[in-house]
Amino acid sequence: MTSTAPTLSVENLQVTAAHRSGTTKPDQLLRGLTFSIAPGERVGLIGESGSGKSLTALAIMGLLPDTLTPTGSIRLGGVDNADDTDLLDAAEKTLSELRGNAMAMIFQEPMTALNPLMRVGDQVAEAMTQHRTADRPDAAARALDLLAQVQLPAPAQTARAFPHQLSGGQRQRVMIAMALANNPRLLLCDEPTTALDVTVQAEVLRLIGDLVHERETSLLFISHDIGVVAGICDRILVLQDGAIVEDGPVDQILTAAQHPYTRSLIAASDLTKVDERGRLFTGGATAPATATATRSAPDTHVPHHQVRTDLDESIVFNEVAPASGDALIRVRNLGRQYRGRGGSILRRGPAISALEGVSFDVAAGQRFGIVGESGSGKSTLMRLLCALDTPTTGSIQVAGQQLANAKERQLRHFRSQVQIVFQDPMGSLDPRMRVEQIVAEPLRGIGRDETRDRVLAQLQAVGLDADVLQRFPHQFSGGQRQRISIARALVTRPSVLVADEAVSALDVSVRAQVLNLLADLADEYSFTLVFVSHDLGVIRHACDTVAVLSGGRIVEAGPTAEVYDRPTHPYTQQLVAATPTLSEIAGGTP
Amino acid sequence: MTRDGQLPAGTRRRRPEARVRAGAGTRSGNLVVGSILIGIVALAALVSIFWTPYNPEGVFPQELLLPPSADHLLGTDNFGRDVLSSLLRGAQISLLVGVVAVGIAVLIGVPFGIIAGMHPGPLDRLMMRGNDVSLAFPALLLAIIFGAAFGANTLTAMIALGIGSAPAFALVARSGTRQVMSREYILAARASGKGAWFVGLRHVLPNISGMLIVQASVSFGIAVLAEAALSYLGLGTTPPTPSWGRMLQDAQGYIYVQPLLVLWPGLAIAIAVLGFNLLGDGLRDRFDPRMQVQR
Repeated sequence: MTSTAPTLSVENLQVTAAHRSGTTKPDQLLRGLTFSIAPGERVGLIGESGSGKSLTALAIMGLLPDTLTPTGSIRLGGVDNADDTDLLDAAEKTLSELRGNAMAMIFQEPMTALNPLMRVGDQVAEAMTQHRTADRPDAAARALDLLAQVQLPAPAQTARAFPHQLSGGQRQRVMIAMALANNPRLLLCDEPTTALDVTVQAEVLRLIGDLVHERETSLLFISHDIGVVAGICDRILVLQDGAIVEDGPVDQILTAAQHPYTRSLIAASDLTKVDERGRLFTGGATAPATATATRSAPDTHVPHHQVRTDLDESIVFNEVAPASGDALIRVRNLGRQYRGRGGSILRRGPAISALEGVSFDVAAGQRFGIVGESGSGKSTLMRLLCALDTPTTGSIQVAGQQLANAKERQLRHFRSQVQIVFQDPMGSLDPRMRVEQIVAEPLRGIGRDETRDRVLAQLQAVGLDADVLQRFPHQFSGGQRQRISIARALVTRPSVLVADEAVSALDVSVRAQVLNLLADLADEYSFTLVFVSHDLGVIRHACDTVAVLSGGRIVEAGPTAEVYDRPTHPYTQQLVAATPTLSEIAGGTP
Repeated sequence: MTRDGQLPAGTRRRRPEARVRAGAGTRSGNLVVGSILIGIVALAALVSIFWTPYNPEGVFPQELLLPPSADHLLGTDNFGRDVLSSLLRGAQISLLVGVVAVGIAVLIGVPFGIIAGMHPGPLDRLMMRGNDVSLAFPALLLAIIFGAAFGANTLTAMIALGIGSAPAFALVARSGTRQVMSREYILAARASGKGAWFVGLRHVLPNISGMLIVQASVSFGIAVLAEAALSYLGLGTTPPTPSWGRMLQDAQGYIYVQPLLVLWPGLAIAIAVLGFNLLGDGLRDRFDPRMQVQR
């Protein structure tokens, strides 16, 4: 084993998809990647969806589906009897000996990567017995040791747990333990923290960084999030449409990127950087600007920074004084309980409280952010605000309509006043409907011609042409689908727009475009924006007031800048500290 | 069975998408073979409306139990009837029973399943437990009971088979509805104030139509088989209308004299049932996202 030979060297890797018809030109998905990873080096691979990031990892692992053909060469250095073997030519037997042994991979979704019917301790041990690196009793002992190394609480007990009994972060730690069980030379991580909450993500990232550093394992870390990659890697490869457009040390990439694509990617990722008109950098051509220079915050209502100090304290956050007009949304002591599992025909399951004692106001024209991690109750709150669910306790008044115990008949006007933009741009559009029908859905009581005119006008307002009317959702990209979603939400000219993680599933450059669009439209139509998200960066950019939700209660609320710069509640402090930001890492303006 | 044509050609999605990729992967062998077999049966039924070699109900006492010849391609039966003509005409009855029975099953089962799926909670539980009870009665048993109670003929057989197949449609429709109802476009529709009728007809039904078509194809095969069984037992199509099941029963008595007489109707039933099952499998490959390769 020589220290100078690279752990992984990839030369001119091309992946092509054979076309079924056979006549047209085959699809080239990776176009000649050449890179190498030195022992102990940590390399990040970034790119947007469809750029070929995951394909690269699968090609290295030899896990490409049969329909895709790789050419070029991939060599793994420093491994007995695998030196100078081209992994692309290697027999399946050789590959399966290397997989999980000399090279290991961590996937995005730990729940699907783990066997649901096997105790996690056994799964970790199996990684070793399979490659005969340890015999059975040894493996069990080493598994416990590994579970302790990935900082799982009570390793002995955790080892006996099944995957579904663990949280997402814990499952990912088990995956890490499995991947590192045989001390691989190369660790591949494919978006390992994308499915995790921000605070958990920070811990898992630190753990991967530390373990890889200790063992001098080479790391290939794939992510769409530059902030995450910058925090853990030494070097960054930027992938665009199946080709590496830039390769350099983290600092250099962040501060002095050469390639225009890299620069636009970094600019779009940074939600704290805006141009002189308060718009995010989108990289590509900027959308036609209709926005005013500075947007006017509601002038009568001034939000205060409030913090919950006692769990049972009853505070009305962001209270709109009667003097400054009526609040558009007025929520008092709102609670929602669900029946948990464990009930039977005779006995109801235990009550689970998703929201408790939530009180806040939103003034007309405010941009109100609700931030929280999974399980914080933010989705429940969103549903309650849109009258898609009924509260167990408390009252909720939106646009002059009391929603608690309201009948659907009474909500007719309300339905046109409050609209939602959802997270998943595929799931929120009916795949069997044409765009025209989708956008026209909220309209009622107007003629066919007028409907069509309004749909068209609305599509144009979100930057889509008339020729999209007869197309189906799957013919659009994620960003375009989200524009259709926004058009549907705004076609009735609502007074409240609820955005539920509206940009979380989008690529960074598209995210910036959609956020700019939302800001422009909020100015143009002067609706009140309620933005629900787990992403603090997005809320910080899009909202002027923020409420932090934790465990079904609001723990802190106030003007966005103030809450972020001076977080007071311990949970908010933890949340702000855990969010990876580009500016801090780069230490300067890109 | 190969599913080579089923892999998405290009980019890897972050989530496996549950949508039908129209026009892709049509080279599923099941689909083609199934379609051909059913095409043969349908063609036979169609031709027999206008033309058969002989009158399938005509009795010729001088031509009993003839072996296949140029005059009678498949021979004649114990009444001197031309077997080919009877087979062709019998295809009509089989398809008619299939269409009507599946139609009745769809009309009863699908609305039942959609309503249950759209109302999770007590109503869903009540409806589905009721469905389980009716599922416990096989369609064939129901048809025998109906035949005994209301007289054995094609109509009672069709109605009984339809009612008996409905619970399976209710199950499929309900599970599909539950999946669709969890999607965000349903929330968007509700947030737009759309009522249950609109959601059920415009969102749920189009999105579960794929799995319903699969279920219909499989049920069609079962209905054809059940009609044959009923006729064999003398509870289905009444003489003199030709029916594959009764041809089988008639031939049974002459199995040592003219064994080929058993083969022809048996083969016809097998082709029709196999055709619908293969078609169902092929359609499932195309419509059911769980059967597609997930990555």
